Amino acid sequence: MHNDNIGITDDSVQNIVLLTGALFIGIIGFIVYFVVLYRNRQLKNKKEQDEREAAFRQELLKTQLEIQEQTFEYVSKEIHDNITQVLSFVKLSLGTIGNTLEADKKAKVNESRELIAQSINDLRDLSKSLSFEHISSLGLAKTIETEVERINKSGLLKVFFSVEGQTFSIGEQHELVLFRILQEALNNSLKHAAAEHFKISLQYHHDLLNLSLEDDGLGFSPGALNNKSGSGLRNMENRAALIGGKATIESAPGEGCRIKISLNSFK
Amino acid sequence: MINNISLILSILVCLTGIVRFRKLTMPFKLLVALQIIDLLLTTVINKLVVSIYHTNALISHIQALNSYIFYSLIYYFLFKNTYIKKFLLFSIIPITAFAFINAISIEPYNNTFPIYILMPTEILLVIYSLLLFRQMLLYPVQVNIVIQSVFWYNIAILFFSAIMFMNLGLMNYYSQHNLFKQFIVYFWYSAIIIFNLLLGIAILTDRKEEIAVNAQ
Repeated sequence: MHNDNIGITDDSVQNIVLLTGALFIGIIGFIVYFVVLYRNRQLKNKKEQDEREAAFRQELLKTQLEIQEQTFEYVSKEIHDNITQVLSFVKLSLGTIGNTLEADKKAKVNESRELIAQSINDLRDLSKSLSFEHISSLGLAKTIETEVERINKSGLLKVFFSVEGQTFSIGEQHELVLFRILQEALNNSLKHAAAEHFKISLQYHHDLLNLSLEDDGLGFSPGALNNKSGSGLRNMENRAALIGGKATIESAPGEGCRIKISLNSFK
Repeated sequence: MINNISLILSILVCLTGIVRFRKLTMPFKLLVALQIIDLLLTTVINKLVVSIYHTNALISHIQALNSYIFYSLIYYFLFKNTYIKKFLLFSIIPITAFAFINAISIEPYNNTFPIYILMPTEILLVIYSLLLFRQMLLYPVQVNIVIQSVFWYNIAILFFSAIMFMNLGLMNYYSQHNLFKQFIVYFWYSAIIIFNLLLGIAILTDRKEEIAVNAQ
């Protein structure tokens, strides 16, 4: 580069050198500052993005639960108001017919009436199990008790239920979510775990509620929680998080499954 | 010695750019093109010009204008703001017109260094660089800054444009006080080496796929 005359006066030369020197140091300082600032922005941005995603997931889950509850409520009402009513009518009709028949035929009709009566009872229990109103009126502990009776009556699983401490309401929505988690766990034990026994423990403390669920089924490796088959279990965690609770799931192949939900933010 | 190192590094940056050309995004393809043109200007064409005019002032005139046009176009692709993009494109017209007027009448291309072109263009490049840093802060991507080509490119421009002022000041000071000029030569080539290194890192770290992922 050839430059003998760059048009700057002699007096200003020293100042230019000093200024540009300061500028050079300034650039290095600026770059360091920028990198730190950028890193902070990245972290802040990531945090905001995670929060947005978590809020979206919560909203999605909330909507799914609302839709599920509406469906359950509809099915429950249909069972209660329609199917059981029809079955009751059939039972009455059979009773009327039975009176006019011979003894052996009457016995068969009565047998059928008993079966229908049993079905009506089962359907009523199922209707109660699905209905939100049942939890509203009876509370969580009583609703679980009814559910346990229903399952035990079916003979599919031996369920044990215990309550510790003085029961109190944690709010209808919270109780409903806990109850649905319990139903999901029962369903898993029946469908996938081939469990024979199931323990439910509800512990009420001063400002803490623990719901412990335990089965003696096949169990699974902890890694299963992260794959597709573990979506039901993850759903339990998400549901618990939705009401401010924390779900911990422990299992190992051949050692059953233990689920513990702790809730302490309802007060 | 140092000029040879600088030349080898320039060739290496060009070769890296050529090898990675298909993987590069549009602004960095332009950067590679500019590096190749610069290399030709400072080597083959420079010798030709010096043999005719006995000075390389013409090369400096061409380089000053050429660099501004290419860097503006690169920034055009890097900026998101429409007003800045428009300004970048339109600024090329008056700068080009002024460069021609300057080369013909104010600072003749056959014997004078284009200081009146370098001063405003380098100031503009510093401003573009700072604006791009601002944009980076406004829209941070979840990629480590060290592997972001834009970051390295922007540092290179900020560094070189600012150093240009320092170099001009030092050159004037040394020539007017009849001091040891070898220092300024080393200083200038060192600056070019750092500049080329930064551009080389920018070319090495640029990837089309990453931009696509970040845009999602």
